[in-house]
This record gives sequence, C-alpha cells and structure tokens, in this order.
Amino acid sequence: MSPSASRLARAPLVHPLAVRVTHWINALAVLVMVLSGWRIYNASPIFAFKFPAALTLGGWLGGALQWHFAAMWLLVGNGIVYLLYGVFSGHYRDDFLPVRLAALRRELGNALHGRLSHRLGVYNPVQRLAYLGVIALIALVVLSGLAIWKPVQFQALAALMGGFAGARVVHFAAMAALVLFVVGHVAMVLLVPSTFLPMLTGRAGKAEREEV
Amino acid sequence: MRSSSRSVPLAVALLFLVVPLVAQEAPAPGMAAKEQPAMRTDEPMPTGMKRDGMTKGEVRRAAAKKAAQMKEAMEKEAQAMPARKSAR
Amino acid sequence: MKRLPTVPPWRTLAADAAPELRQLQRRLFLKGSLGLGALSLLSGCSVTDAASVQKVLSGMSRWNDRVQALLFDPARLAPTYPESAVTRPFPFNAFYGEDEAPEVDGANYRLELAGLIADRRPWTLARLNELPQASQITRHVCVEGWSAIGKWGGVPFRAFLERIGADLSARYVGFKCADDYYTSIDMASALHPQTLLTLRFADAILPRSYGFPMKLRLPTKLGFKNPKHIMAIYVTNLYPGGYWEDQGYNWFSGL
Repeated sequence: MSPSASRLARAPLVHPLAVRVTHWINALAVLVMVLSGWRIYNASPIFAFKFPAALTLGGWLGGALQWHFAAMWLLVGNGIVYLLYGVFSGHYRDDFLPVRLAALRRELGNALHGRLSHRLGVYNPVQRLAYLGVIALIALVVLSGLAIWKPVQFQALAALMGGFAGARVVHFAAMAALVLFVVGHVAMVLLVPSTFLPMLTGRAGKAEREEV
Repeated sequence: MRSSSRSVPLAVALLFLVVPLVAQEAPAPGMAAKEQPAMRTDEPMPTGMKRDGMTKGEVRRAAAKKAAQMKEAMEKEAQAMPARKSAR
Repeated sequence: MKRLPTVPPWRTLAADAAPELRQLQRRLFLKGSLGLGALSLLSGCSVTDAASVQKVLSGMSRWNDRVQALLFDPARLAPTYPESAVTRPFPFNAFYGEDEAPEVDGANYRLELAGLIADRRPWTLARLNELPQASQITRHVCVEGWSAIGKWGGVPFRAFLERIGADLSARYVGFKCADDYYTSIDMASALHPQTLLTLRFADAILPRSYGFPMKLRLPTKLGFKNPKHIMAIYVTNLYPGGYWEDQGYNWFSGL
C-alpha cells in the first residue's frame, strides 16, 4: 500500500458507497429526464415559450419519449434503492433529522452574510431542508408524471392534480423547482470545492481532513 | 304550356353544365369506394408528431410495405379459421 | 503452407463497405434521434454505442408495452364529462392538412373485415347504423401533450366484434384507413366497455375532418391509437404495429 493510499484509508468516511452510487445514478437519470422532457414539452408548450432544441434530448418527439420512458425506470428504481437504504441504514435519522427552525433561521442568516458553515459529513440545517426538499420534489415529479402517463388507470391521482392538464402543470413546476435546486447545488459545490471529491471517493482529501 | 316551353331550354342548359361535372367525379369502374384527396405528398407533415424530414407521402409507402410484409402470414392464419355465414 | 483466400469477391466488397455504412447509420442516427444534449451526454462514450443505445430504447419501449398491459384494468372507465365541457372547436390533427382529409363516398362505403373473424362479409353504413348505438363524452389525449373533450356516438366495439364472430382470444385488432394510416390495438382494450366504433361526432354524422365515415374511439388510449376513416378491420395474432408505432412511438400507449 502506498503512503497516500494508506492515508486515504484512514480518512473518515464522509459519504457511504450506497449514497455515492445512488447520487450519481440519480444525477444521470434526472439529466436525461429533464432534457428529454423539454423536448416533449416543446411539442405542445403550456407557456408562451419553448426550450432551445439544441439543449434537448431525443431529436424529435418520438425519440424524446423513448428516452423519457426508459430513464424513468432508472430514476424510480434508483430512487427506491436510495430510500430503502436511507431508512434502514439510519442515514435519514442520523444525518437529516431533526430540522430545527431556530437553527435553520440562524444558518440562513449566516449564509446571507456570506458565512457558509460547512463541515464535511455533517449537514447543516439549510442543507438538511434542501436535501429533504429535493427528495420530496422528485417524489412529486414522479407522481405527477404517473398522472400524465396513466390519467385513466390512476385517475384519482390525476384528479388530485387537477386532471390531465393540471398534472402537466404540476409536472412542469416540480421540474422547474428541481432544476433550480440543481443550479444552487452545483453553485455550492463550486463555492466549496472540497465537497466534490468525497462524493466520488467517499473520503475527504488531506487538506480538508486537517480542517476537520 | 308556356311555362314548360320556357323551362326546356333552361333544362338543356343545366344539363350541359352538370353532365361534365358529374362525368368528372364518377369513379372509374372497378375502383374502390374511397376517393383519394389530392394530398400534397412531397410536403412535410404538419403534425408535431413528425421527425424532421418526414413527408405526407411516406405513410402510403409504409402502409404498402407493411401490407406486403403481413399478407402471406395473415392469409395462412385466417385459413385456419373456418368462415361462418351466419344470418345477420 | 498458406491457404488461399476463399472469400468470394462480393463478400469482401460488402465487408469493405460495412464500416462506411455503419458510420453513415451512426451519423443519421445522431442527426435523427439525438440533440446536442445527448451529444454532450455521450461525449464520454464511443459514438459506436449510438446504435446499441437505440436498441436499448426500443427494448425499453417493448417492456413498457408489457407493463401497461398489466396496469390496464379492463373494468376501469375513463372519466366522462357534461356537454358543457366539450371543447369547441375540436382540434384537427393528422399527418396532412385539414383540407387534405380523405373524401369517402358514404353510399358506396363497405367496411372490410379480415383475419380471425368468422363472418367476414363487408358492412354498409346503413347496416352499421341499425346496430344498437351508444355515446360518450370523454377526453381525447394527444401524445403531443394537448387534450380535448369531445362527444362521440356509435356502435360499442365489443358488441360488433361479437356480432361478426371475431376470435376474442386473439391478441390484436388492426385497422387500415382511407388516408393510408394504419394502427393496431390489444384485444383487451378493444373489448373495453368505452371502446366505440363511432359514426357520429357532437350528435351529427361524423364530419370528414374527424374521420368520416368511421373512427375508432378509445378513451383509454392516446389519440394516435384512435384511427379515423377506417376502411378495414382485421383480427390477428401477428403483431401488426402501426405507422407511428413503427417510427418509434410506444405501441400500447394506454392512458
């Protein structure tokens, strides 16, 4: 074992393997779903704009639908694995809960004043809320997608979202919120680059460990 | 009889007007009941379902190809089922 | 001792041409099926994967056919609406313009029957109108994403299939249309109580734009599975596909 490898092995585990694998599969699935979804949206826009065709996936409506209805299995299957892991490993209990209002307010205030507290492996209150929120968003995007795909078989679900046309709006809104999250998420990684490596290797680099 | 004498030339004039029209529209003997509209087959499809470059005439070609592909197997399949001539 | 090559010249010619052909196919595929988004996505992989990507996507679509057949509840009815909810004017959508819709001569019209059907004698419009009729106000959902509510009337398809002695255990019912369009549906959806062989739209004879003389209406399937201007119906166990389906749209396309 090389000295660097042994140091790496001794470094504390920030993200367990299951979280890292499901995170990156989810990132790929969301990317495919969003880009193909934009192409599908363009065939019959709800609002007065279309997405630039060059940014979309699938080339035409039929192709985009093929991507969308293939990647949905990746998104949902991976999501189920992640949720089961989170519940049974104690990941949610230990790392996400509780989200306390006072702590959240303090953290938001800090963030607004440019003081980002970040300790690798520990989620601050804003992160907890954001990550729980994005899990809920993906659940909403999947449920509204089901209502659009099967408005007759799942008509109770569709009715809950205002019918077929309403479910399209919900699906769009959930997508938009999800994209906003991704923009913020990536921006935070750029601001605190030391968070990136642990999402790949699971462990912090040397410099970060000394900080910790 | 004055009225009928007036209507004879009128009827003849009408006949000259109508006969060519009817003759043009009458289907050729042996043709199917359907009439093909003048579809501009080289134009791109107007539907949002199309892929770039699809033309209206492609559907006819695809239908002919599909019919040819399925013909033999479908006839064989149908022969296995005896025809019933029930009273309707 | 060296063996002389025994490959015939046409074989080597084909082998020489094969990589170029494959490259052409790849380029066509990339042009046809992928946008820039996909290109950036695939930039890490070899471009040779493009054809296999298409294979995977088609395979997933067949898998989705099976899942949808399982999800389909033959007894679950699509929501119905009051007359006031009907969309006016009802949108026209086809692979041609509204002025190009086929003109079918109703007086000489004969509905042709073929395949696994005991009584394959053709039907006139008059005889079809004599059969017991039903009507429905349901939502038509287009694969493009828009939807519209319409009122259709006609012969319940199940009753018609029973009447002509169709093999109800067969897998598919196929349709050939006056505009050359063709499609097919699964037997379970054909037998659904809301599946109608429609002769009327908004209480009037089905207009040319909406499929005169006859349109199959299934509120349990996307619009392109609702063929207009039907000239022939056949029952078969051989997968018949359809025009849009063969282009890559999902075959089952149930709602």
